[in-house]
Amino acid sequence: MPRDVVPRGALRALVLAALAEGAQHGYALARRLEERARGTLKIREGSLYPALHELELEGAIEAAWTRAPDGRRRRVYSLTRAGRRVAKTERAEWLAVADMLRALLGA
Amino acid sequence: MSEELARFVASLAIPEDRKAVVLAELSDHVACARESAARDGRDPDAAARAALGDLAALRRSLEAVEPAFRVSRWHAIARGAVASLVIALLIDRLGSLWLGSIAVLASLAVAVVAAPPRTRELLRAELRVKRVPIGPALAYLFTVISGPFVVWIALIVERGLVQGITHCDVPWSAFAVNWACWLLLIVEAIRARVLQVA
Repeated sequence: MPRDVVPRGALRALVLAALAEGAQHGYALARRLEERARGTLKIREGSLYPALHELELEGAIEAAWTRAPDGRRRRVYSLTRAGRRVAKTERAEWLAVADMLRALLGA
Repeated sequence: MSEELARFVASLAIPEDRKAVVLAELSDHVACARESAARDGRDPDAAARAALGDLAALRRSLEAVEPAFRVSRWHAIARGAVASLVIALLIDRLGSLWLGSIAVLASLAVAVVAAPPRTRELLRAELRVKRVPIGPALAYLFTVISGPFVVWIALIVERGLVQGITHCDVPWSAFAVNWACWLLLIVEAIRARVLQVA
């Protein structure tokens, strides 16, 4: 059963990490994260788009309009220079938290 | 589904220009879900309906974030500059009335009323992130902290040069907004740090 509640702040780190690999639109981003989690995670759209918009407000990511193959408008997100630094920091912090939990709870 | 989505977005309490962005984005999301389901041999209509999940939760989240797009850094600085001017003149005229309490209350009210929408939430988001350029909330606070002093210095210089007044009284009320802003910054910075550690 996939988890659909991501710990506070972790969704930001996941989104930033996924965008560090290249620009993506919301749906592709969600599916990529879910594929990576191998069925253990379900990204809720109710959290994904607000998280994307919050990161955009903070200047960590930027959005550009493109067209899907059928011509509909599509917003593609990419990391800004500041966002790349934030992505690195957040990744390191969450990996440290994961290591700590593994040590405390047992692998 | 597209009509339902359009109705949902139209009913959101967010700026009008953001409604167009949200509608285009969610429509693309639903269309992607439909295409993906068709490719995998699943029911595209069911996939489209499931794609957006809990609409009430989506509404709450979007209505919390989107209004902040109204505010740019320059917009916040302009609001801060106007508030600073009003605060400086209020303190200058009413600073000594009732030991300055009227001026303090009035200037704090001006600072709150002139603040961009969702300043506190924006401030929390800005303080949570490391090494991102100063956002609208911090820009507003720093403008309100420093702006009144710029006006007072101009007033002192003008009175000295034009009216020959060479002394000035500095009432404690002149620092009230300044202290309130720093207090807010310290409290929110500690909160952001504690939440990060927790």
